[in-house]
Amino acid sequence: MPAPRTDSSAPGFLAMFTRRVLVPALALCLWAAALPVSLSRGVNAASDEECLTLADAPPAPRPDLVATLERCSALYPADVELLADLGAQYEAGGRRPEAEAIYRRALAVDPAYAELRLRLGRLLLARGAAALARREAQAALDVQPNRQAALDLLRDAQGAPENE
Amino acid sequence: MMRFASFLALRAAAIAFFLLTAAYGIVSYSPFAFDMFIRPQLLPWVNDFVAWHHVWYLGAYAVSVASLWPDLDWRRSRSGADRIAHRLAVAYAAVFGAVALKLAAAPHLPTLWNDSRSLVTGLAAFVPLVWLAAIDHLSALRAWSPLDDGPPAGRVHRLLATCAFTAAGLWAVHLAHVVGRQADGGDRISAWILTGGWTFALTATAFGIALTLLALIDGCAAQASRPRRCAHLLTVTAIAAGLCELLRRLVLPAISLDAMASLAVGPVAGVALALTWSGIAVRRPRVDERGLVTPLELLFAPAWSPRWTAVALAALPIVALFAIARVERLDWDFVLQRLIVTAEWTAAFGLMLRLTAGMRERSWSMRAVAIAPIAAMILFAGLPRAASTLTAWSGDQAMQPTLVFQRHAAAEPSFALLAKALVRWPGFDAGYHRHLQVDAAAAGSIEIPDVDFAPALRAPSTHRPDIYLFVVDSLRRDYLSPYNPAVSFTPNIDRFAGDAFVFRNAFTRHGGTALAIPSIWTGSSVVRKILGPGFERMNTMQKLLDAEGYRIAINDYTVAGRLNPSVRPTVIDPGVPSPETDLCSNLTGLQQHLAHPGTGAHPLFAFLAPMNVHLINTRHQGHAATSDGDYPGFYGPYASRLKRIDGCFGDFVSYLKREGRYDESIIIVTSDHGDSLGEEGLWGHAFWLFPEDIRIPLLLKVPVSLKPELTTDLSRIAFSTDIAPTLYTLLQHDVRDPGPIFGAPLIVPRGTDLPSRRRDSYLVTSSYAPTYALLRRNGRSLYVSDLFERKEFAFDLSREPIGTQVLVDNAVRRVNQRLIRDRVTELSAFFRKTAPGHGSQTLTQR
Repeated sequence: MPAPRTDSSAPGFLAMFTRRVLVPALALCLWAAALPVSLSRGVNAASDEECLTLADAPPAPRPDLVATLERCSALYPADVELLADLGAQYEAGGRRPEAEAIYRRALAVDPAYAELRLRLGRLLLARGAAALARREAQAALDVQPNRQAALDLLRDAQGAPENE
Repeated sequence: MMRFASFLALRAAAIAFFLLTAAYGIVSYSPFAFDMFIRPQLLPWVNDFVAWHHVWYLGAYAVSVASLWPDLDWRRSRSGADRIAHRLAVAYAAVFGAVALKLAAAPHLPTLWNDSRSLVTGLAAFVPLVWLAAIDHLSALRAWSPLDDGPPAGRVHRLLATCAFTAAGLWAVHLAHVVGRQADGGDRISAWILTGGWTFALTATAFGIALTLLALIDGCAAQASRPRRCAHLLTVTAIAAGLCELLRRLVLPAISLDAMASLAVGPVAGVALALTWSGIAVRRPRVDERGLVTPLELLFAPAWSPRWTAVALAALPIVALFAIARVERLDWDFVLQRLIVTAEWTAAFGLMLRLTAGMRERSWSMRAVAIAPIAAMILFAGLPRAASTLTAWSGDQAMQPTLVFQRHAAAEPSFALLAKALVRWPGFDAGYHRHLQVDAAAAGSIEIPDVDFAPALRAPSTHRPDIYLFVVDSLRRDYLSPYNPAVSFTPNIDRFAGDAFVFRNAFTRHGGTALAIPSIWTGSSVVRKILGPGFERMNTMQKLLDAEGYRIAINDYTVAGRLNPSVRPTVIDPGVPSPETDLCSNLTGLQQHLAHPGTGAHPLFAFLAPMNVHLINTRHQGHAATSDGDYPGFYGPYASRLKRIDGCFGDFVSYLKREGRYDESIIIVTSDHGDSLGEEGLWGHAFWLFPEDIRIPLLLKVPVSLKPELTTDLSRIAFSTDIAPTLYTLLQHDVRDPGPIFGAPLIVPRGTDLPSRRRDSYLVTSSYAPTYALLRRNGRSLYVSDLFERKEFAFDLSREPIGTQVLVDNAVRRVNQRLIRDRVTELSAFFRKTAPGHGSQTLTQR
């Protein structure tokens, strides 16, 4: 049966102490340094804080707003509020075809966005597509039954001539 | 001399009893666990145990005294530690005999309630265990002394082999499990290779740490004058620390034990259990056919032949997987499954230790101890990068480490345990988590303000329809045909939806019933302790009903006892325990109430909260569906119960129509919260705020005469907290906005526009766990902070029926964490929530 201490001389004891105590203690310190494992390095998606919060409130007017909204809506194509804001900016700038396209994009993501249906309906009506405008008004009423703005659009579209 | 097997059997019976008593006391002390498990009398055998506790105590006392027989034997001459052991054994027999008599005269356990007496009882139950362990150790010194000069343990090489073989064996079993499961899920080979890599790295790490620790203990003990005794002492200390951590990080948070109680229970239970373990170990025979048994073998390895040990090792994973499968649906936040896994690892280590007996020391063993962590550091630096590269190369976001981890951890308890202990989720923000932890743990006081939706409730309205509010506990929207065309088992609710407004985008503000039901009555987000004194000041629904002269018929266990006593509601199905509340029985009782003469003078408000589809019934009472039928794509036990109550609901609607009460009534069908029914391996709703837990159905039928005069927005985000203000509007009151934590009417008079909610963010909190969620973008974006697991999740809810998980990156995390923090501060400020020991200082002031 081996004795616990095989060498009682000072250098022998030191060597054994180093090998049997210091080495595992050092290894334990290394474990502590290595842990916990961080998964941060594995996250590689690109996102933009400004774009994530831009549509939290109707954006204040600024010179580069359209460009910013275009950049953000490209980064977050499913953020329909961003698209709604971009569409509103296009409308305000008289860029109606772009506004119509952007509203269609937003409605493809969120077909129940009744407010956009009404905005799109108004654009369609303005360019004489009364039947399409009626369809948008009806779709808005499915989501917002009895809503006056949708009923108004429906009435206007029903009374308007079809120019397309 | 008593044989060890007899001693073990007697002692195990006594230990089981005392641990069960301790567990009952501790569980009763936790308000959450008390409400969830004890008060509803969920497990009948627990009721029997409590009722007969004094008799069981007598039995446990008898077997524990029998296990001490050699120490009680007065005929033997004794000296030193042996004499002290004898005296302690006699004292044990006297003290706990007196306790047994006292309990026989006045049973204690049945008198426990959710208060500090329960905690004291739970902690006191460890005293006999520590006492027995003290006797065991003193008694064993007699046998130890002559054998105490041998080498401390099995030497590093043997430890290395034991740990390496155990880790490799467990990894192989887990990998087989992963491959089997993910092959069913149609995942690509690269996905499970990646998962296997992570499993290997974490398993190797766990056993690498164990090896290092044991090598250190071995090395330290070798320097001592009594190496074996020292090795044993250090190992038991490590076991105590490990058990304390296991309880503190895994078990106690799952029962929502508060921080102070955890601080007491963790160390006390850890030390008591380690001493008990050690006490039994030192009673084992010290010498076997191979010679002297090492301290580590005494604690872990069985004294079986190598052949039987190998058989046991092969059978171990099968037994563990079988046990996990048995408890999976009963489990609470994976606690039982993770404890089974821990026991599996410990047993595997012990069996491997036995099999490696006789291995010789190698010169390179100690180097391996040092090299292991360096290899791990390299591996852990490389694996996330490799996963990232693989994700970019394959274009498959599902291979992102966070998503791989979450998906695999939810399905495999051993991986989940390792991940919880060894992995830090990206972007863990200590300040943010501390802020929420303080909020979640605040057991101080709250102030409940006096709130009204309509400041001056005038005389009763001219039009006061009957109101039926059905809050079906745990009812999922995607299990109802109006929300999911794949559902064929709720035809009556489907027909009813034709007459109702079907809000497609409805959520609860609270996961779990304890806060969700009160929030419906107050019409606001609430905090814990809301059901204390002062609840009536915020109970806006009851204020409306009182002012309008409604009579109340109710079957509910959350709020019913907190209603203004002047109301005297009619209780439907009185005396039925809450888990047994049944909508069919409730509706029969309600019909009898409606048919009772003299009830027509006042309009009726009926509030029913049946638990037919609660997990207590769908999971705990067996897995089978209650009626014949096939429910492909749905959870049968849930769907079949829902089909039954749908039939009863249809009958009730027919009854109302026959009686001419249907057209002009307000009928609301909703739930307090949803439920996880196996999604990503999750069951239940108390801890999580995942999409299926917080989405609810909300169907509102208004009086036929009013419908053309109202407008609404069925796609707007809606909450169960909107129900109370909506009733105000329907009873023709002008509703004011009492603040951001309150709901608002879901309908408005025609010609008026509903305010948009698309740009707002809404906080959702758990009733029981430190889990917070944020809904943004009209309910399309959900972000969840789970403080217990220290994980963050994001979901895109635009995809029906439940939504899909998306990656959490730094910007998403920062934005959502900031908003959650703001909303939590807002909620705490409203209730002037104070932390214990901070006097009148509110949480928001710190």
